[in-house]
Amino acid sequence: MRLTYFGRLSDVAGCGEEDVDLPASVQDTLALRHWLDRRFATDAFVSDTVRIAIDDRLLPAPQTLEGATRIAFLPPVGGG
Amino acid sequence: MMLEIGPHPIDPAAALALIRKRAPAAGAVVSFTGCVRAEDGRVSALLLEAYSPLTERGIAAAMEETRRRWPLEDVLIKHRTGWIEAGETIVFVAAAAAHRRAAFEAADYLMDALKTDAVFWKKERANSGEERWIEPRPEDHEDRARWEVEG
Repeated sequence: MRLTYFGRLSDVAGCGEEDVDLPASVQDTLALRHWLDRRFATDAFVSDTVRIAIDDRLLPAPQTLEGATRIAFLPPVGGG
Repeated sequence: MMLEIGPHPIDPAAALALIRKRAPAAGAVVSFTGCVRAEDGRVSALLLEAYSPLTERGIAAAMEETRRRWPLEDVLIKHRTGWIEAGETIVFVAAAAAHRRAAFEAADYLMDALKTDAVFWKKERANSGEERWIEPRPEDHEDRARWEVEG
């Protein structure tokens, strides 16, 4: 699974993009948020201000990860 | 309608010449050039991060909406990404119409839409070298809300 982190989340994750093998227990976006928070020792991903795009489509959470190839995490976008 | 998002420097004069060439029937062309503010020498550069193709998709939708609201000959947006030094052009927006009112309002509307709806993350680098991500400003949403009433 390819994970993409935008904005400040790339600082939290230490990279903008990575390929990871998710554990079998991570089946939907909510589980993925909690898994990433544990992995990076943060509470940044579970925040409801962070939106998730699955294969470049913004979807209301939580969603199944079945069939997905790229998951992107979008914190609030900056103003002027 | 033309949209370009990328890391290359923007030449506002060339962009203005381009929309005039694309819209020869226009009697009015209004353009806006946005630059990175130095904030009294405090800011040295701004990082703009886009998410292709979502960023392009969102801006294209705003451009379509603009064309629906005003009778326009053409609209053109160039938006830079990557690190941009203070004083350099970050965005160029132009609207071409038969008459000035539509061109002025369309350019204004497009900038408000870009400020609030466009998917860009911004990081500021201070002259001290310190970097920080910029969060949304409430007044950007107030600017955008003007248009909801006026419809």
